[in-house]
Amino acid sequence: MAVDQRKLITVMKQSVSDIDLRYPGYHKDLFDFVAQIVFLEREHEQRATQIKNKVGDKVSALGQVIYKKSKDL
Amino acid sequence: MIQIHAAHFHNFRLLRDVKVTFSRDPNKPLTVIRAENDTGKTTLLTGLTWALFGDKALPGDKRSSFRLHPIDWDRTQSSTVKTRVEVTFAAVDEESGEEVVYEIERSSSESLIDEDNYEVGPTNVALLRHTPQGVEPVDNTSAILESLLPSSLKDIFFIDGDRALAFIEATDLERVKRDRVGKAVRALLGLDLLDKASGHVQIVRQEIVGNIKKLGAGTEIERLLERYEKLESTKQELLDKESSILSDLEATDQRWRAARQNLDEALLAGAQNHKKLKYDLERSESNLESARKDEIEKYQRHRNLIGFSRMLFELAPKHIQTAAQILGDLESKKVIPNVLPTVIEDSLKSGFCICGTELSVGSKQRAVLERLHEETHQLDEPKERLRELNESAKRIFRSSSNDDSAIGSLRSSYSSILETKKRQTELESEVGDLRARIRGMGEFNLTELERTLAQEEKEKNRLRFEAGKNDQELKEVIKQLSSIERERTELERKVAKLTGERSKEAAAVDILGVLTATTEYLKGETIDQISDKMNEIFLSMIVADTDSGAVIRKAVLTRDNDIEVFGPGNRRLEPDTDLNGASRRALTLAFILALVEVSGYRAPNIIDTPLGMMGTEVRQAVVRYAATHASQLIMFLTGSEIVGVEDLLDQYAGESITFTNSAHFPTKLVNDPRTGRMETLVCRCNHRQRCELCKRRVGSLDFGDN
Repeated sequence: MAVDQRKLITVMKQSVSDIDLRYPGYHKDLFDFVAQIVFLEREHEQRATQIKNKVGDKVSALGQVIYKKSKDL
Repeated sequence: MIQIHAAHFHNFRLLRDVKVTFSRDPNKPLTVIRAENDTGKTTLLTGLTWALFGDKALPGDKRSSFRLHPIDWDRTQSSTVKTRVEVTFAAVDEESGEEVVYEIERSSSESLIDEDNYEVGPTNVALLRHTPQGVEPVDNTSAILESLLPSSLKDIFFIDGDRALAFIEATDLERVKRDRVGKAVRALLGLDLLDKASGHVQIVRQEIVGNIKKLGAGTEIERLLERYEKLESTKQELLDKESSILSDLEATDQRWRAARQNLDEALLAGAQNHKKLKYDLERSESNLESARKDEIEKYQRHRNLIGFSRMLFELAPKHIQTAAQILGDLESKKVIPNVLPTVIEDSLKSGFCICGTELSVGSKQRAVLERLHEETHQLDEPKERLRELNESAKRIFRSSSNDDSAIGSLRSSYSSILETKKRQTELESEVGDLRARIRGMGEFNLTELERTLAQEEKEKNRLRFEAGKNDQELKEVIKQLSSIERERTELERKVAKLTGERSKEAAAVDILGVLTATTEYLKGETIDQISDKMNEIFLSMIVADTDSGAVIRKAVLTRDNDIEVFGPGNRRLEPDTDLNGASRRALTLAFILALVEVSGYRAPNIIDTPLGMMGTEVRQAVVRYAATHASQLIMFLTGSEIVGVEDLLDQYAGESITFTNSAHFPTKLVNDPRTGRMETLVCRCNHRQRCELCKRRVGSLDFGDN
C-alpha cells in the first residue's frame, strides 16, 4: 500500500466510528472487514486475483454477522 | 521505513563494476555522488529503479527498447553480455526499530549480433531475506517488492531534476499537469487503492440490490407476515375473551339453575294449578330447546350446501368449464403437479444425479442442481395452487353427474329453516305466556323468583350472544390464519433470504461509507496539509532569492490538484512563465518533499541534479531543508551545484563518492585511468577532494572543479 499504513488505519478508524452502531462491537468488526478488503485490493494490485468475488465474500460475511447479531439482540 | 544500504552494478551501460554504499546515519542522512555530466548519474538512477521496479522502470517502459550493455563492449571477447544489479535495502519498523534486510538481484543478458544490433534475453529477479539463520530466498518476489516499494512511488522518490519539472511545466495542458500532480498525490496517499476497493464494493452492492429486487415482493411479504402476526394476536385475544365469556356463562348458568330450582320448588309447594304451571313450563321450554338445536343443525347443513362445489358449477358453468379445460391441459403437459423439486432433492440427498453424475459437495454439477432447486422451489407455491384448483374442478365434475339439483336442495333447506324458526317463535311465545301467568299470580315470592330467573336468563342470552359473536370472529381469524399458514414456510424462507440480503446490503453501504469518508478525508484535509507544507518548504527555499523572494508570496496545492503560486496582492502567477528556473525546481522539490512528509511514508529520496539553475542561497536552502527532513537523501551533484553548499555537505553527508568517466581522458581528466574502455570509475573523494583518478583539467568546462 502506498500510503503509510498507520495513517490510513487512523483515518479509517475515525471513519468507522462515524458509522451507526448496528450491535455492540460492530465498529471493530466493520474495521476488520474494511481492512481485509483493502488488503485484498493490495494483493490484487500485485497479482491478478478474483478480486470481485473476494470482495463479495467479505461483504457477505459481514452481512451474515450483522444478520446473526441483530437477530440475537 | 525503507533504507537502501548499498548497490552493485555489473555491466549496466557505463557502470561496468560499480559499488555504492549509502549513508544510513540519521544525523548525516545525505549521500553525495559527485558526478559531472556524462559520468553515469542518470545511469545509476536508472539502474537502481530497474533493480527495484523492474523492466517497466526503464526509459521507454519496456526492456527491448533500452540497451543495458556497455556501448563499447568488445564483441570479439564475448558476444553475450550479462548485466546484473544488486541492491541491499532494509525495511525498518520505526516503532520497534526492527529491521529486515533484503537483497535484490535483477539480471538480464544481451547477445550482440553486430555493431548495431543485439538480442535481448529475459529478465530474472531474485529476492533474498536476511534472517538470524542466514540468507533465505523470498517467494512471490514481485508482490513483496510492490508492498515494500510500490511502483507508483517511483517518480516521487527517484527524481530526475529535469523530469520532475513535469509537475508544473508549461508544455503540458492544464489537465495533463493536474493529472500528473493528482496521480502523485493519489499514489502516495493510497487513494487509488481505496477507489478501486469502493468500485468493487459498489459492484457487489448492485448485485445484492438486484437480488433483493428479484426476491421482489419484499414489502408484500413483510405486509403478509405483519398481517399474520396481527391475526395471531387477535386469535389469542379472542381465545382469552372466549375463556372469560365461558367462565361468566358457567357462573350465570349456575345462578340460573339455582333460580330455576327455587322457582320450581315454590311452584311444586303451591296449589295444583301451580304444579301444572310448572310442568307446562318445563315441557314448553324443553320443546323450545329442541327447536333451537334443530335450527342450528339446519343452518349447518344449509351452509354446507352453499359451499358445495356443485353449487358453483350451477351458478357459473361456463367459467368453470374453461378453467377446468386449462387446468387439464397443464396436467397433461405435466406442468402440474410440480415434481421436479422432489427429484432434485432426492438427487442432492443421495449425492448422485438421475443421470448418474456424482454430485460431490462443492462440485460445479452440484452447484447447478442447487440453483435449479432454488428456482423450482420458488414455483412450488403457484403450482400447488394450480394443482388444488385442478382437483376441485375434477370434484365438481364428478358431483355434477348427480341428478339432484343443488339449487333445489338449497331452496328446500331454507324452507325447513323457516319452518323451524316459526315453530321456535310459537314456543317462545308459549313460554312467555306461562312465565307471564306466574308473574300474574300476585304472589310476591313467585314474582320475585321469576324476576330473578328472567334476569339470569337475560344475562345468559347476552353471554351466549357474545360467545357466538366471539366464536364467529375466532373462526374467521383461524380461517385467515390457515390460509396464510399454507404459505408460511415459503414466506419464511423468502423473508430469511431477503433479510440476509438486506444485511449484506447494509454491510456494503457501511463499508462504502468508511472507504468514501477515508478517501474524502485523505483527499481534502490531507491535501490541505500538503499544500501548507509545500508552501512552507517553498518559501523557506526561495526566501533567500532576492528576485523571486520579493515577488512570490504563497504556493498552494488546490483540491483540484493544481499547483498555484501567488504574488503581491494575492495575484496569481503562472509557475511556468512567471517563475525563474530556480524557483520552478524549488517548487517541484517542495511539492515532492511536502507530499512525502505529510504522507508519513518514509523511503529514500534519490534526486538527480536537484540544484541546477539555482543561486547559491536557494541551493543552500534546498540542501538544508531536504537533509533535515528526508529519512535518507541521495543527491547526484555536479561540481557547479556543489559550489556554495560545501559546508552543508560537510554537515549532512554521511557518505560521499565521486564518479569519473574514463572516456573523459584526455579532454577533461588530468590522468589516464588506463582502463582501455568507457566506464564509470568510483573513488572515495568527497565534494572537497580530488585524487589522481578524478583530478580534472582546469578549464575543462566543468564548473566548480577544485
